[in-house]
Amino acid sequence: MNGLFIAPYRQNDGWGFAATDYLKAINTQMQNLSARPIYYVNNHVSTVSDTVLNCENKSFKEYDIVFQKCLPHSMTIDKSIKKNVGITMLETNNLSKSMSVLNMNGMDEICVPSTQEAKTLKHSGVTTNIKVISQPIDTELFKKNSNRKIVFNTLIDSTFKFYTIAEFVERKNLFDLVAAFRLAFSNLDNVSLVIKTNANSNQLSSQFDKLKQNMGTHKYQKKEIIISERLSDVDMIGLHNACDCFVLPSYGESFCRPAAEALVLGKTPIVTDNTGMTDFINNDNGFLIRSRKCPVITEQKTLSDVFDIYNAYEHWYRPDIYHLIENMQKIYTMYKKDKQSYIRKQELGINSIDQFSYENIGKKICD
Amino acid sequence: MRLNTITSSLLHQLLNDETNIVYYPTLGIFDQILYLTNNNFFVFSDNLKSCSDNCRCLNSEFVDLYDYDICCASSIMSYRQQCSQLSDKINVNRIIFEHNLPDAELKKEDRFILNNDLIKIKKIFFDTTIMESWNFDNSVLCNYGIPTHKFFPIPDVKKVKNILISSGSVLGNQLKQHFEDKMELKCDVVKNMAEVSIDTINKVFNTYEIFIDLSNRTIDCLCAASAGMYSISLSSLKNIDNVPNISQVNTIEDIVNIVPLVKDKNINIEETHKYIDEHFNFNKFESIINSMFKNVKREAKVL
Repeated sequence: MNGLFIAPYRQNDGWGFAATDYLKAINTQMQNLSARPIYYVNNHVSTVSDTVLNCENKSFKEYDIVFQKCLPHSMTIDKSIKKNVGITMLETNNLSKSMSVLNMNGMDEICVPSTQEAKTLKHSGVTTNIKVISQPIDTELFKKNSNRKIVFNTLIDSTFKFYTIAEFVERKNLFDLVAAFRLAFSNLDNVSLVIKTNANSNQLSSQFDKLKQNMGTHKYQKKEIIISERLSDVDMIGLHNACDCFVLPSYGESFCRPAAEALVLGKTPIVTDNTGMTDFINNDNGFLIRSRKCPVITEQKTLSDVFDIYNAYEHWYRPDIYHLIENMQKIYTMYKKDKQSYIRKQELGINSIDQFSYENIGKKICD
Repeated sequence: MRLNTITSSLLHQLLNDETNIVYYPTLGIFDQILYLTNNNFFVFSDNLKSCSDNCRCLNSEFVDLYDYDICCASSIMSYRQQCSQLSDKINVNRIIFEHNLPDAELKKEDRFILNNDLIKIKKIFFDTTIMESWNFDNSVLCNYGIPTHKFFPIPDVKKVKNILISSGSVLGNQLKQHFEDKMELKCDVVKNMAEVSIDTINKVFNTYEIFIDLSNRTIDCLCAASAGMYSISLSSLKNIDNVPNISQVNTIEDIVNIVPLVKDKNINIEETHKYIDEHFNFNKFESIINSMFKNVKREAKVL
């Protein structure tokens, strides 16, 4: 069987990394897989893995199956292909006003990484077969580097480290995270907050200072540790390992790779309820923050060309900041006073690693 | 813009036998010869008329009407301006045709940077001297191919005028003035040969005795020679002055001096066609260009 994989896997961003993982997962099940990149933005990687190169160098006269891992707006139906599969990820809910529904209905199958997104598509009028399949991650790399820690001077201390890995966009809600951290803990608590993001650390720091000023809380509170350097996959694992508890009070996630990575490394994630992350994070292996539905009113856009998503016809979920504070305090107390429960939560996360392996996900996609 | 252009073009590249090419024309005869390779060409220009059935000239607002396979720029220096953005937008691979020597003002350092910037893009040169002068990576040599079955002397067509000058600058008009005033010759200047059919060009060529190329379009000279004109070229293309009825000169003064010598000269068209078919064979050109298009369209687009 000849397969073709179309995706922005050469992009140097979350889309690109996710697409590469999907390519590697499908490649475990399909020998004759060729791959062709598309680009939504001009930010691309200079080198790719041998698996990707190998797939790029393959070309067949005919294809039996085409996988398009892209925005639903970009999907193309080709009737000469036996099976057209769309793989997509959306962070908001309700696409009933979007043209993309028509595109998806032309495909033979749509794969989404979470139950929440499958529900969204069904409610929006997508009638084609929808499969829920997690985003794959390189579990072998995680197993190999499970003890690796990143060497950042700022991270070498004995504090309990809350951390997040997120783009600096409104959806990721980093301001609520910073505010919650400041309200949850005082200088007397042995805690710190690490933020790995793509924004310039000085600019971000001054924005957080402004937030602090607006909050009117004590001036002597600790500053956040901001890491804006680009990190390799292995160093990213090192960053997870140097910290203790992953927190992401995001408004919407289709899957969130850093949250899954944190889970399998035993970093007891605290994440927003009603998002795509709740397919693999629950109150046993992590903490869910209560959230309420609200319309998507934001300056953030997926792409300038795509006008019919990220608008107020859709909704996402605003996390309850007080519940976030409560959860942060709860895990810290658990860490200090109830090590057994703390370790049990960690273990539940670590033991769930194989559900994300390339092989398992590849099998599900190609099934 | 149709939002699925990027994937639909990609599927076209891999599944369709036809090749759709976004092309930036040279406005010379090379365009017409390229159209003879039987691919589909799309020229985005508001003011250009189509000159061939397989070339569609469209307003740039209608880019998303079709799926594309390749975007071709007409020179290294015009690549950025011509097809860099569009090729990214429609997700197609790129090819650069380079017909000329690097500009004398282009510094070595700038050429080095340009080479690095364009390293992933295939460059096609039509002459070894020109290719060696640029000395760019990822370059391919493909000699011009002249379709002698399209450019030939038409029996019974009289040569009613003396000289046809191909020139985009004021120099052409100055030369015309000179030939008309001092030598009493009938002379015309042509700027753009992009909007008439190849058969019409051959008919027009058949009505003149001499062709002078000031536009640095060597291929025009070869076609004129094939049509039975005596051709004078300022170009540095190798082998061109071995064509029996082409003279390669260095200066405008040389042109002025050579015209009285070649006027009324008998041309042995069999010999000319034999040489052209041997050294500038159209079938060979067509086969190289088509195999290049076929390969490039199916390659993964790497930025």
